[in-house]
Amino acid sequence: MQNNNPLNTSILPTLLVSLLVTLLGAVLFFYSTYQGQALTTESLRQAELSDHPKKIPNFLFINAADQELSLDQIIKNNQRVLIVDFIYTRCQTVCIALGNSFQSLQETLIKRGLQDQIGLLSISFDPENDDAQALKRYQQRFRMDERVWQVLSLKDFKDRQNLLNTFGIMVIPAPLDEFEHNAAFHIVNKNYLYQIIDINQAEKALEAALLVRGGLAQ
Amino acid sequence: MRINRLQSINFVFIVMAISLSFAPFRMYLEQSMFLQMVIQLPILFIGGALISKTKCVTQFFLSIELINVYGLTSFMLAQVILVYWMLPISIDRAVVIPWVDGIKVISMMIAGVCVGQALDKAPLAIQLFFIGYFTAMMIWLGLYFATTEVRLCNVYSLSSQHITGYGLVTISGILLAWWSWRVLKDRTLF
Repeated sequence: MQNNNPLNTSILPTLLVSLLVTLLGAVLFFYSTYQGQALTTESLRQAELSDHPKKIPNFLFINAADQELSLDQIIKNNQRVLIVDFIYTRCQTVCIALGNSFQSLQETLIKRGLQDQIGLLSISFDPENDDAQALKRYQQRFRMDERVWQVLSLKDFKDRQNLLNTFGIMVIPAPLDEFEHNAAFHIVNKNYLYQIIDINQAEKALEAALLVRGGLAQ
Repeated sequence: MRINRLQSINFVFIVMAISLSFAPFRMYLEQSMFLQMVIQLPILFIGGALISKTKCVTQFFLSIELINVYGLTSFMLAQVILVYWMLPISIDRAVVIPWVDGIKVISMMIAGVCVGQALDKAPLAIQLFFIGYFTAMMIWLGLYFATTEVRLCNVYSLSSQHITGYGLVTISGILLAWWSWRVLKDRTLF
């Protein structure tokens, strides 16, 4: 073991280089965490979207009545800002929390007469299992009012990854034939994804949707 | 003869550390957060620390001694690297983007080289500061990983995150115990 003798070697160059390393490290952290706003991928996609809304390509879905419809059609028919969540109907964990939040949002929208301005949309990322019947069961389970809340499943499995990438959803297989996936409220309007709000902030999601709606009205 | 055998073991360990991080082993190692953070990253770090004892690395560090008194610069660089790979966003990126994973492998080995060299130069107080700071950070992070119900890495499950948390706390304990043993053994530090 060799201990340097501080009397023989000036420590100043070392301090300067150490300071430089620290500064470079700080710059690296600053840029890799989106100016310090995002320590997780989830917070990164939220921060990125709040600055730059993202264009959503057209996807083909089926609904609980086994009707084929495209995202473009849904947007055109609705003329509403949509709060979108991603689920699979067999889910026993996070999707139940999402479903309960949507249920209370549905009540709030009807109570406040906002159903013509804001709609709710649940999209299944498990088209292999979630056919029209499964969607129907999900619809009944959460007592969906079709005027406010729709549930859809992808028509083609091949679109699944593109859909997940577009919305920044990561799905990984979990035990008991389940999936682990990130869950949030996605504010969508006119083929653009505007904002992503945390799963436990349903009220904030509603406010954000109203803000997007208000901004568009102006 | 004994030194040669030790060198051979070190060489095998270094080769193993690197090869485990590339195909076909990479996908097995990175499919669990625990395997990546508690096994892969420490193995790469230890591999780097073993490389730090080689002649050419020692000579390189001698040539930059002017800017690395007490191993301070080495410690700072290692600290930046280690903290960076503790961020959940960095772990996600390493799994999803192959070139980021390559940087992870190289940088973790560099961190190991830096700490391996710095521990031979630094006085006790400086060692205590860096080792103490790093283990405290890892224990805090480990406990957070183990107890939070927020899924921090999008590519890993919550249960994997919880196990990883306990793994990080265990590694901190092992690191602290090893360092204490090393210090007590080396009387020149007192």
